[in-house]
Amino acid sequence: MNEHLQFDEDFELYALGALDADERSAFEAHLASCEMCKQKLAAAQQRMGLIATALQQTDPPSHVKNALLQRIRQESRMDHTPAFTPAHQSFWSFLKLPMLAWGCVALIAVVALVLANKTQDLQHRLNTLQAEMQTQQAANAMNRRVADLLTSPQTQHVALKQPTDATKPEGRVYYQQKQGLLFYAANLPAASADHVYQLWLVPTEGAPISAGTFQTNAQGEASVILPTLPAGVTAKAFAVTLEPAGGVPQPTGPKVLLGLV
Amino acid sequence: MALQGHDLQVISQMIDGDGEDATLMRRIAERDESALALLYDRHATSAYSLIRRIVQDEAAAEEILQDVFLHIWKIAPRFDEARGQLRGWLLVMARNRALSHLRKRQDAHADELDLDAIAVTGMQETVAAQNEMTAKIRSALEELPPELSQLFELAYFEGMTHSEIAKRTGQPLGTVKTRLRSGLTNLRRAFQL
Repeated sequence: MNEHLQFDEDFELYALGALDADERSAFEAHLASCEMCKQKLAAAQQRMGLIATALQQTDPPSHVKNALLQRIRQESRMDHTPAFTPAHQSFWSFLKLPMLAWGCVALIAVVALVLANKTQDLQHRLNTLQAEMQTQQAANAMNRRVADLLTSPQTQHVALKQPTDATKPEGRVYYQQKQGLLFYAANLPAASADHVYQLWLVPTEGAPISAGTFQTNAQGEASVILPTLPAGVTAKAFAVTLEPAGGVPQPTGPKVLLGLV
Repeated sequence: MALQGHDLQVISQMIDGDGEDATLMRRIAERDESALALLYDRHATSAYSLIRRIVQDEAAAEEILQDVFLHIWKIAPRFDEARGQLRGWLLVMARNRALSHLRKRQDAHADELDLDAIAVTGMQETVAAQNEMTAKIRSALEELPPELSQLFELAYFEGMTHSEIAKRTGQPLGTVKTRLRSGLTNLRRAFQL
């Protein structure tokens, strides 16, 4: 399986243990090399666990706790069993000689210091490489989602124009309920320092949903890539308004661009 | 977008609510029995309810519940609190052990997988949010149509695979897969607070 595991239900089905052996093997083969899917699986496993909180709750009998604590104490006693036998002690007994003992301690300290430095260097390099890898993986995942959205036959293409002027500025939305939204705009004048542009998804039912705020570059261009949106929303229009810096929960400013689906 | 006062309060509560388990786990790692007792008080009821529902046997449920918390005692020094929420992981472990008992299948690696399977982000929550989510999950479970509810229960409480469910219910395998996927989609909405 080369593709990422696309549907959240697949992670839940695996977490639930509902996949049959062949499906499970394919899932695990992909999982072995994909950190992003491992994280999605971890979240699905959490969800599967938390479902149990909705069951009718029954307190365990009080003796269970007492028995548990008793077992813990037994475990603790086993942990504290002396590690050295008399035979071992006789081997280490040469350390009773003070000078020799301090010499050994000093030698061990020097070796430990050298090893600690080496370990720190290696850990630092490892952390750097891991961070680079995660950044690359995130970028790849984002590129894949953008490519999928642009090439999918289900994607809606919506041109946004100024309601009163069809020549400029203009924008374009690519939207699909499951895969998300891309927005590009051109010829937009720069917003003043205390204002931002805000993109809105207008659903077929209910209030407009913010798809994020943005500013233009020096050429008057702007984009919003895969903003966080609720899943499965059917859009009837997209709009861009000019709003106070930071954005607003619902549109208040003038409509700069508008496009009907 | 700048954070509002309410956002800061919510974030603060998130840290406090989640921090309690993390603090207890740190104390357990230092072999503090009273911390384990407190952790038990916080989570034993939900774990026990789940185990008992699965094994349908009070004595076995009590034994498995002890095993779960004994395992926590053992792995606490290796527990990485940065990896996420303890409660979900604990319930996953309780379910795995109960299903293993039910199916007479001992999987020695199950707990190792559990330890790695803690969500990294996105699952921290306040007590109020926990209650709200629990209510939403309960409501989502109640709203499942009977045919979906039956399939979900066979998977969740009996640990059955698609094929086993199809065999048990006499439904075509494809129907079982489609219906179970649909049921999980409904349930997942309950987690989108």
